[in-house]
Order: sequence, then structure tokens, then C-alpha cells
Amino acid sequence: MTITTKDLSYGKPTWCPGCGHFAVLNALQRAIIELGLKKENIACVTGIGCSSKLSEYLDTYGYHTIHGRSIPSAAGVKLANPGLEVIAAGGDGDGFAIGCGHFVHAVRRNIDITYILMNNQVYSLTKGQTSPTSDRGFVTKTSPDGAEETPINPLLLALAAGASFVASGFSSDVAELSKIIAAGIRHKGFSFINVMSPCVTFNKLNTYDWYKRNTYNIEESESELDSGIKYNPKSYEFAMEVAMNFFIRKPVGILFDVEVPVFKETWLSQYPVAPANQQINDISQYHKLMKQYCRE
Amino acid sequence: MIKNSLNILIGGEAGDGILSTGEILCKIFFEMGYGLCTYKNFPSRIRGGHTAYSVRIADDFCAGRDPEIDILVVFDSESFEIHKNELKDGSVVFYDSSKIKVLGEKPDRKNIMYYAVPFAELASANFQKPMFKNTIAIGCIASMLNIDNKFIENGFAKSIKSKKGDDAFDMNLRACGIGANYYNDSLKGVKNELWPSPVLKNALMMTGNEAITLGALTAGCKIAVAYPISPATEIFESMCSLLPKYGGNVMQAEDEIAALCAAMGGGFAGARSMTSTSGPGISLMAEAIGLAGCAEVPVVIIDAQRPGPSTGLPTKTEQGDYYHSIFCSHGDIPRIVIIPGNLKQCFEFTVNAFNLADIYQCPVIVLSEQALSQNKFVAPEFDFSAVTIDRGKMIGDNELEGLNGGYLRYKFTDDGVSPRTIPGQKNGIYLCNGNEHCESGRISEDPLNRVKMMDKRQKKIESASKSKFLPQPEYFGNESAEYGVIMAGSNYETVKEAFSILDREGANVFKAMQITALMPFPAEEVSEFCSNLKKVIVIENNKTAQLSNIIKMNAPVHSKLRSILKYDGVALSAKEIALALKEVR
Repeated sequence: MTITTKDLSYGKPTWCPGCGHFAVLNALQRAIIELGLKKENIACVTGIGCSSKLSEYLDTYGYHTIHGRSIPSAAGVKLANPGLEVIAAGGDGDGFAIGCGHFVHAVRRNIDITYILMNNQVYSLTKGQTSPTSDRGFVTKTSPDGAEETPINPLLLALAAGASFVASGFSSDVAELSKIIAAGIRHKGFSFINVMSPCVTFNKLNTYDWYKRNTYNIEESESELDSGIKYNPKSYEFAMEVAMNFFIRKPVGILFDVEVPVFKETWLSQYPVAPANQQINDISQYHKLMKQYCRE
Repeated sequence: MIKNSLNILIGGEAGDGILSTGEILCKIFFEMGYGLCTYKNFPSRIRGGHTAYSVRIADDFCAGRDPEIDILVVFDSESFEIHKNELKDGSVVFYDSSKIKVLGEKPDRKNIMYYAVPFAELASANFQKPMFKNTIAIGCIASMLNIDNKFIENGFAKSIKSKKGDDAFDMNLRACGIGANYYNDSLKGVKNELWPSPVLKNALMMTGNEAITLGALTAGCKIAVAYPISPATEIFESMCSLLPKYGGNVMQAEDEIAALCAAMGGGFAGARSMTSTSGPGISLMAEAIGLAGCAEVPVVIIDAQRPGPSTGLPTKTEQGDYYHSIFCSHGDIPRIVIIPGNLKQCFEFTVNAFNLADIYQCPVIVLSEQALSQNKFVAPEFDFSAVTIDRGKMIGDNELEGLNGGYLRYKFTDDGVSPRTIPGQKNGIYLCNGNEHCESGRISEDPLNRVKMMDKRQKKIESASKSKFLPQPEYFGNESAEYGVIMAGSNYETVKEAFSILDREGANVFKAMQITALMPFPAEEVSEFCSNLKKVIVIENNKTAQLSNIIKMNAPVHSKLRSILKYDGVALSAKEIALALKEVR
């Protein structure tokens, strides 16, 4: 029996009409369908923010955690049950402000989860404040004279931390975004997907039109970038070149996709039954362990 | 009951090998069948600074610090200065005369024997390695106490041979012999034989942290995530080496927030999961503890307390997280907080912490303390036949199918506990949520639902108060006493021993109650205990009488309570308590 996006939907999203996050939800659902995943084998773990409500509207197992902690929470789920497809998601505040420390370490660890960062360059659920990815000069209620800090370059940050999969998507192209997400889920290791997902209410600068003017298909990098570098997602040099140009030209597609040892791979190969599914019955083995502390 | 005990303290600089010397002495006396406990006093650094390791041997199980020293071994002048006032009449002092040319002013005690032994010189001359000075000191002590060589060999075999091989074993035995000969021939030392060993049967020797680890493994813990922190680090270290052998998995997190969140991810996924930490870590975990409460995720948090506030005294002991453990995080959170007081309870309470977490689907905090966590104790073997594993209400696949898609994760029930599913189960899909939610788990801001959901979660703690897995208060002392003592944690054993001192003096007019849970709190039991008493003394290791105030919050016994407080980073001893009790009365 094939499932539809309707089977994967729960309730009516409370996002503003036109919000980029609708497209992310839809693209994720399409990716799940394309990959033929069973919905009970998916855990969608989110933090807090408009984007983190993704887990509310996706009808799979979900875990709506606290601000900034989707990644460590998702890592725990994966450790306990490697058989699940674990998808962590959240916004730019959640992932790059309060949760930035976790991001770097999850990348280093290369734990096999997919992380979708829904980047609208503004805090929306708190009604419009500057975010770690806001452009310099971006005027908000908390940056009345314009944002003074250099925005985080998500792609460069991931590559610098040793990422094995880095991609960049755009909410206006659901089909392409769905392909990117499917590739991310398929990838063994930590998959990072930065999605340019415009906020139509609180970000009047980085609008759909603005993004359309500033994005390009990554496979056309040769003509789009000054360096004329050829598309090659197996090349770190290529990925770095694309990432370094992020503030000038924003790519849509997969920058980097290589094989790197996955966290706990050796351990996984030794234990066919997930910790979450093991029966607890043989306590005699621990009695033996205690005996090591006893006098003969 | 302890009739005889002997306290050996070895002092020197951190890096002098003091800790390993203490460990070897433990092995030797354990081999002989004595009761034993240690008290480590070490600084929060790797090299330099005063370090002391005391090994207290007794003719029965013992579990408390002795502030008086029978045999003092010092490798530097500072150690003598720090500990000389702990000497008593008839004590013996060995000092390293290669480093201490003139011993400082001696304490005003009778018949103290001072033995000058050039430990470092003897070690360098015989082995070219100054570290052997420790083993030479062990030789002196062994000779004085007339310890049979077979115990020494066994002791070294279990501590050195297994870890460092035959050569190291042989050299250590030789060093020990050099010490013994020096004591006999050069010092013409007096033999001072120990009282006969009780040869304690079915005994084990381990630290509180080891007992907690064994408890967690036995409970079927499968996920351990932590961030290194004194004095809890050993728990996670042991989990890292042991858990994967039993099918579990571990992760060293980037901080304590991640540690608890990842452990909770494991709990949500269906594995018994834990983290271990100390004060600064559990402070960082506060928000996630609230999430576990709201989202009803089972997780066990071990807090080996150390003195705060802030970084405080990382390697010393305190009972200062009582407030934090029951109050931390915003909002009203269903949680369970239990406090083991000795090795046996470290094991049993940890096992039951996992049962309670699963049954009541909430965070369970186990409060240990440095003095209990990092010291070794000889104790009776743990009773595995009493271990029960209860995973609580977990709904099966067949039952789910019968619900026809109507599964509600947070269903309102009589006891507040809703049957749970785990990811992977068909027809059991739900959203685990830290936002206020309705029965399905999806966000709800409806005021009526909010009230019902809050009541439901809190109801679980009421239910937990009747659970057979919730550690119950223990009582001891003089049945017809007019005065009471209430304590928690490691003071349990210390007060017990203080009572035996008072018993011997015919001065015990006390009975005692050990608090083993702060949440749910045994309010009725405390009221009942205090009802016919004139005064009740609450003994605790913190500044602001946290336990006493928690009692006052729960039971109308305010006017009867008095406090004995200690917050210098050092555990209370039975002698101190006995003395203080006589005064308070």
C-alpha cells in the first residue's frame, strides 16, 4: 500500500499563508514517499520555533523538544534505535544561536541523522528579531540600527566542522527540495540541509523574489561562479568554493556528499537488536560482574 | 557492630602515588576479611597539592570517616602539619626522612611513636624509581601489624599483577620486603598485631559509583550519555567500557544539556537511559528535566553531589543539591528524587530508579554525594534475587491494532499514567511534546485540557508515593527515645555508628529516621516519627538546612526541629555526630 502526503499530514499548520515551511513539510513528505519509508519507522525531532512545529504537522513519530536541543535529542533516539530514520529540524535561531554548539559536534560525530535547518534569517515565533543568519544591516525590533554581526555561513560552518553531507535547498522549488531531502536521508552519516525558507511576515528583505534573484542551480556552478569551478560534490574544494560564495550567490543542490565513518558503525555491526528493542531479562550476567568485586 | 577499628592515613603531594597506595592497602585488608572504608581527600588538580587517602579497617562492616588517625604516613612536611592534630594517644607516625629533615612541632598527645624512614632514598637506591617509596611504606605498616605475607601477595596480585604484569608485581613485593626489613632491623619497630579478622563472608568491595553503575546495568540500562565531571566521571567511564558489552550504547556529549537531551532521546525511543553528573551539570540540565516531566519521558539522572555554589569544591563532598533536585526548572514538574545512603542502597535504589522512571514516565534523580561515590566500602554482596524489572505500561502491537487508530499517548487515566508506545510500533504513532498538549500529544492551549493535563501528570507522583519501588524510610535506634534524628545520604551509616558509640556510653536517647526520597516526600511518616519526640535533630552537609526546610514544607513539625550542619567539604564522622548529639540534647 502506497502512502500519500495526506497520510503523512496531521492537522492544519498554523504557519502564515505563503510561509516557506509549508514547502519543507511537503518536500519531506514527498521524500518519505519516494524512499518508501514506513511512517512508524520515522522519528521527527524538532526544537522550538515556527519551523520546529514541523513535527506537529507530520504524521510520524515525533518529538517536539526544547529550544535548540533537537540535535542531541535526535542523536539519543538514533543511539537507542539505529533502525529508525531520524530527522531533526528547526530554524536558524534554534540551530545556530542556542543550539549552535550541538550542530558542530553532531557534524563531527557524523551520527546518521538528517538535519533540516529551515533558514528564514529572522526570529518569527517571537515576532521579528534579528537572527544569527540575518544579513548585516537587517533592521528588526532588536536591531533598530541594523544587525551589527556577521551572519553565520551555514554551509561553510558545516564543512569546517567536517561534514559528510551538505546541501542547500529553497522553498520555492518543492520538487528539487524533496530530491535533496531524500538524498540526505539516504546518506549514511550526518546530513545537513540548509533550506532557504522565507518568512513572509517578519522578513521583508529576504523575500521569495530576493532569493530567486540570488540563487542558482549548483550544477551550473561553472557559469554561475566567478571561479568557474565545475560541479563535483565529491570534492571538498568544490564544496568550499560554493560555500565561500554563499553570501554572494546562494546555491540550490548538493554541495558535498562523501563517505566518512559513521558514528558507532562498529558497534552497530555487532549488535543486531537495537538497545530500544532488547528484552531485559538476564540479570545473571550482572551478578557475575558483581562477583568480580568479591573475595573468592 | 564495630568494636575495633584502625585508621591509616597516607599523605603527600598529588602525583606522589598516594591514591594507588591506598588502593593496595584496601586490597590487602579486604583479602584478610576486615570491614573497610576509605576517605579520599584530594585536590582538583593532577600534580601538586596535598593529597590524603585514609583506609579505615574494622572488625565489622564500616562506612564512615574516622577523624582520628592511628597510623599516619607522610611524605612531606605539609601533610604532617595538616594531619598532626588528628593523631591521638598511642598513634604511630612514619615520615619520609629523606624529604622531612626535621618534623614540625609535635602534637600534645601521649605515647606517639615517630618512625623516620628515608622512603624516597630507599626507593631510589633499590629501584631508581622514587614511586616505590609508597610500597616501602606499605611494607613498614605490614610488618608492624604482622600481616601474613600471603595476604600481601594476594593484595599485590589483584592490584598490580593484573594491571602491570609480573615484573611490576615482583618489584613491588621486593619493595614491600625492604620496608618490612627496615622496620624490623633498622627501626627495631614494635609489633602491634591487629585484632583478629572477622573474615566477613559474602563481602564485596567497591565504590558508590561502582555500585550505581552495577545497579544501572542490572536494571537493563541501555543508553548512557554524559559529560565528564567530578565526582561522577567514573560512572560514565565504567559505562563506556561495560555497556557496549551488554548490548547498550554510550555517547560522550558536548555538554550536560546535550547529555540529558540525548539520554531522553533514548528514553523516548524505548531504551532504559541515563546520564550521570554533578552540581554544575545538573544545573545545566534543568530545562531538559522540565521537558522530561512535560513530555513524560522516562530517564534516570545520577547526581553525585559536590559542594557548590558554582564550581565550588569539585573533589569534596556536600549534600547541597536537595533544593535543586526537587525545585529546578520552571513550572510544576512531576519528578522523583531518591537518596541512597550506602553501597547497598546505591545499587538497589539505582535499579529501582529505572523501574520508577518507566512506570511513572518521568525523570528520576538519584542523589549520591562525593563521599559515597568515590570512596571504597566493604559491604555484603547485593541481593540479586530481590531485583525486579518493571517497565510499566507499555502497550503491545496487538492491543494497538485493536484500537483502530485511536491510540492516545497522553490518555487520562486514574493513576495519571498513560500506556506508551515506542517508535517503530505500527498504529502507535504520537507526538512526544514539551508544549502543553492534548491526549494525542499535539499542541493544545485549551484551558480545560491544560488543567486536566497538569492534574494527570502530578497524579503520577501521588501514585508513585505508594509504589513498592519507591525507597522507604529506614528507622533505627532506641524505640522509646524522646529525641529523634533525621538524616539522608551517607549520614545514614554515620549516624548508625554514632548511635553505637552512644549505646556503649549508655547515652543513647535517640531514634533515627533516614529520608530516602525527597519527591514524593514521606510527609506522613515524618509527622508520625516526630509525633512523640521532644526534639528532632536534622543532620546534613549543607549551609542552609535544606533537608530540614524540605521537611518543614511537607510536615507540621517545625517547632521540634534542630539542625546539625556541616559544609566545609568534609563528611561528618560518627564521633563528631555522637559528640554533637550529646550537646544538642
